[in-house]
Amino acid sequence: MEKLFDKLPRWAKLVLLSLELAIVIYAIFIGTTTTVLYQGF
Amino acid sequence: MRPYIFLAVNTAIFVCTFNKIYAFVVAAAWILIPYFAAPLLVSTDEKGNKYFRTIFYVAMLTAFLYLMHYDWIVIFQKIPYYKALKFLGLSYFLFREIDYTMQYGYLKETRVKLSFVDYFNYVTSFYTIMAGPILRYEEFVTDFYDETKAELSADDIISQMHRVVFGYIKLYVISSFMSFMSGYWFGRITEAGNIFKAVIIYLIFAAFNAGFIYFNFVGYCDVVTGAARLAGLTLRENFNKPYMARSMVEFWNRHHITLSEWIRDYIYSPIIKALLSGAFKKKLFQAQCCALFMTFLIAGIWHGTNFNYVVYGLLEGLGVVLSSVRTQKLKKKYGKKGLKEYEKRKGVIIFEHCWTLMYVAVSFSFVGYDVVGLLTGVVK
Repeated sequence: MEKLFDKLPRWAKLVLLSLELAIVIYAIFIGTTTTVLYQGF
Repeated sequence: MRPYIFLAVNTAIFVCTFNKIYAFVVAAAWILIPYFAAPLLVSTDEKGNKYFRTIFYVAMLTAFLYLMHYDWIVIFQKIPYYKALKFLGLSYFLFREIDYTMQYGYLKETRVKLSFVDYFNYVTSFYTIMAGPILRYEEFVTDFYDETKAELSADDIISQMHRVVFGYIKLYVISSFMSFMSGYWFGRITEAGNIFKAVIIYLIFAAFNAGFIYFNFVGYCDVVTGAARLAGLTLRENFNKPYMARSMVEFWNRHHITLSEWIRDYIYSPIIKALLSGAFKKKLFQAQCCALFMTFLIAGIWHGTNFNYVVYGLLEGLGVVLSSVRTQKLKKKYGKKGLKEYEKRKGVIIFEHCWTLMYVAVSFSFVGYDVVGLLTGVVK
């Protein structure tokens, strides 16, 4: 995935990054209750 | 200036994780004592030094067992303030402190920087406080003060930002879905009706749970590694496609690599040394298997506070030993060259991948779910 991303032109990287960011913001605030796996460390 | 900025950030985050003053005092002592004890551990008086070292590590370990709140060690629960004394990152503090104190003599000889600020930044580094990756002190300081590093280009910054954001997607989208599915299927096991159906449902649950653990952990590591890179630090890679492994030994060389290496250096090596100089003299392979089993059992117990983690440790230990024994037998049967040919067979490749995947999934099912409770309930 990283290798594929690195091959893209800069404008495409920024568009993809914005889309990913939108997904993350949606997931954090609306879509999920999952947190970092924490087993009492 | 940079070390002091990190010191301020680490201290602020460290303090913010506490809601009880006792926990803060104990955690501060937990961090400070190894720093001041390290020079004493390498003093010139060999005999006195040996006793002091033993007392120091036994005390550290006992304090760790107490602070970790293992619910099957009942004796600790009777000590006052037991409930209040829990803090985040305890295990990872311990790993770094042991690395610092064990390596202190070597670090001094090789003239690695040994200031308190560096030690504090190393032990409490906020981005790896919860689940690693576990850096070694020498590695941390060398990287921290490395002035030869090239500055990040615009493309590097975008790549690292992508790593962070995609890490969050693994964490909050993919692993979240896997977590939901594993919870759903775990709840269906008791409703299966017959044993065959129950086993199938259990395997589906185990597969989703293994996926959840992988994506959650790898996502977290991507976030911290990418963020650290943006802050000018380099963290070691912690995963190398673990589910592509063909044996349990290979799996543990690909999964949570920094922990595997720490365990190898500070648990496996002392155990095998003790075994070879005692009960297993001239029985190298048996000693290796026994040390592997004990190491994975300890690592399993460390992972969590209830009995499910003991079973998890037993299964991991058994899996690694079986994998070593199988490789040894195949080597004897086919020889080194023959074994390489044998490993290229399609049937063998498929079998090894499937077996490793299934074994990992089943053993990981004891992490986070009360499978022991479920099984004992079914037996009753």
